[in-house]
Amino acid sequence: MSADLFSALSAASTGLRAQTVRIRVAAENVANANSTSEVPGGDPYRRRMPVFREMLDRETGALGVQVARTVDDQSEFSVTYDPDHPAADENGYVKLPNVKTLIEMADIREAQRTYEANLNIVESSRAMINRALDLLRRG
Amino acid sequence: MKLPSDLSVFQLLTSRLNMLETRQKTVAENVANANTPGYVPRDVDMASFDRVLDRYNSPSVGKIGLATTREGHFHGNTPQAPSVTTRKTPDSEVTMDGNAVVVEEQMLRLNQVKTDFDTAMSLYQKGLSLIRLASRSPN
Repeated sequence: MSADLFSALSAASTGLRAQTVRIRVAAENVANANSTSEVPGGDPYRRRMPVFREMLDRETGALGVQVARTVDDQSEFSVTYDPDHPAADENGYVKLPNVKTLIEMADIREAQRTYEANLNIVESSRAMINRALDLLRRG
Repeated sequence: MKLPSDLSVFQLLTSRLNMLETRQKTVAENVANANTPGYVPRDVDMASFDRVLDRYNSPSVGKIGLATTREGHFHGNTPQAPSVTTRKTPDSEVTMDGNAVVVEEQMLRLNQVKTDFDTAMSLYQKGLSLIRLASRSPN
């Protein structure tokens, strides 16, 4: 009877996992916000973004979510003039990563919000299953 | 004697509980896919639930199918019981990547499902305790 409630739980758990990956990728971006190239004139760290995709769990019939892949952000690197920097090219310019910490923070905040929404689903599904079991207990 | 599960009150409540479980599952799927590009949220098609209820309201409950006037007649296939279906119901906003899930609206729906579920469960329990009252010996 409560098969749908269990598949609700499994869908919510895929949501939790996907949002965790999203926070991890954002954390990687923030960690590498200042990672320049190791060779003069080379490209610095490129910001990465997770891509979500629907995923049908054939066992429970729940339509969950998964991180299909992470793609590189193709936006332009910013440059700064710093001739003494080890990554500076022959004109003295250093390419900086295209990571904007503010955007990453907003992204983490949104991921957190969705994570909490998924937790709400888990909690209420559990309460509903328990409610159904109470029929047996008090029966 | 009729079994409690044959009484129409319990049949009605069971089909309502089943519908609410399906609804909970769709909410879970919608929240899990809150960031999936191009995902449109789903909800229970209330018209299909009406058809399920009509089946219980019609006087010929459980008598649909071929009449057997003599021994040896085949019963034939009883028509498939109507079941609850879901359909796409976009929320109030669609983001640039085509995702039409608004987490707040889903949370609202989640609470609604939980309240409805608790109500139906209370009624079910009340029905059971009435039967218990009726079956108790006078002293």
